[in-house]
Order: sequence, then C-alpha cells, then structure tokens
Amino acid sequence: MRSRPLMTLRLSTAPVQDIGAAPRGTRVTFPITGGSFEGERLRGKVLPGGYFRTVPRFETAEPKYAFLNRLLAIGAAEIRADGPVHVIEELL
Amino acid sequence: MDFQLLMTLHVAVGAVQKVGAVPHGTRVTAPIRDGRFEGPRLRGQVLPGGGDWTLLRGDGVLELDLRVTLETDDGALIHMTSFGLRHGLPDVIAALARGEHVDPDTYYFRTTPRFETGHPKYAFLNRLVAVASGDRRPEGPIYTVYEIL
Repeated sequence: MRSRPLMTLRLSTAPVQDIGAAPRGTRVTFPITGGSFEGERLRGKVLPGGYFRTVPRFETAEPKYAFLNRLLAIGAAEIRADGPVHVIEELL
Repeated sequence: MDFQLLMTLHVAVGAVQKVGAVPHGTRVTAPIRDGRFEGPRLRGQVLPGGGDWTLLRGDGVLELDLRVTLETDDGALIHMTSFGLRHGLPDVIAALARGEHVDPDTYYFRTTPRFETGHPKYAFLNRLVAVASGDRRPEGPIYTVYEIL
C-alpha cells in the first residue's frame, strides 16, 4: 500500500468538554475554534465547529476540489499544547 | 506513512438485494455468505450474516459499508466494519458490473477497516487503524488489509 501527502492540518482547540462516563466509555469533546491546512493541492482555514477524526473524509461541491470526494485518507496526529497537528495523506 | 500486512480477507457474497434509487443514490446490499482471512497474527473464517451495504452516488463513486464477524481459528470473535470507496473509468466499471475479472490496478478500491474484540489475544486490533486495497472478483471481493504503523 502507498500513500502521498495531502495536507497538514493544524487545529486550535478550546478547553475540552468532559462529557464523562458514557455507555461506550469516558467521552471528551474538543471544540474546534479554528485552524489552517496546507498542501500542494489545497490550502485554507478551518472553520469553527467539528472534532477529531483519524480517517479523514471529505465532501465538497466545488468542482476544483471534487477529487477529495473520491479518495480515502489517513491522518497521523501529533498532540500539541495549542491543539493537534494532523499530517494527512491520500491513500493511493 | 508506513504499512504492515495484517491479513488477506476473502469474502463470498450471496444474491444481492437491489434496493434501488434512494435519496442519496442507488443502494445495493450484498449479504456475506462466508469467507476466509489469513495473516501473520490472525487467521480464520468469516461467519455468515454480515453484509456490504453499497451506495452508488450521483458522482459515480460507489460507497461501501462492510460489516462482518470474523472467527479466528482459536475461537475469538472479531467485529469488523469497513467504509470504502470504489470508482474508475466507465468501461472498467462496466466490466466489473458484467461480472468480469478486472485488474484491480485499473480502478480505485480502498477501504478503512476497524476492529472490535473482547479477546485479550487480539486486543491489539482494537488499538490500530487499518487500510485495505480491494480486488473485486465475480465471487466476492478480496481485501489486502494493512495496519498503519
């Protein structure tokens, strides 16, 4: 299996929301307050809202970025004090 | 990123259920009859009762949602779910639809399996993210599943 870089995604998170013991375990939500992403084929900013994923999926109506609708990606995240940094690669 | 072979998974599909045009696309469900999986750290059979819930989207991409129970040769049960995408040039997809065997390098067929098990020996599966490449054969797909390191 091979993959190639898609983008690096930097997220800023607000204080965690500790939801506590839920049926599937202890759930904690990280509100996303913003961020940025940058890659060879796309770059921009992250709008507030949403939360963590490790197998990113994309949906867009913009023809220029329709290639994102057709790919599967994988992300390796590094947790930093100001929020996680995800290095996202397209699965080839 | 680096990958390590986890297993090869063969599944045999039964008669498909053509649900037809639904709000998000065209839905076809493929019941899983049985199957086999084999890798360095696990091997066994696919139990009957699973399925692959597919949706052909308006942009021509097929979404797959495979849900099966794996039973290892030493008796552990593993719940596996796998979201995937399949698409390709129209003539390639048409050949697949006719039930022909097509070189899997000529189309995109990738999935992201996830596992759940309560068996301590296989608990490592609960802790990994995997990816798979698919080879759609007339009798059912063959997935080569890799652990992301």
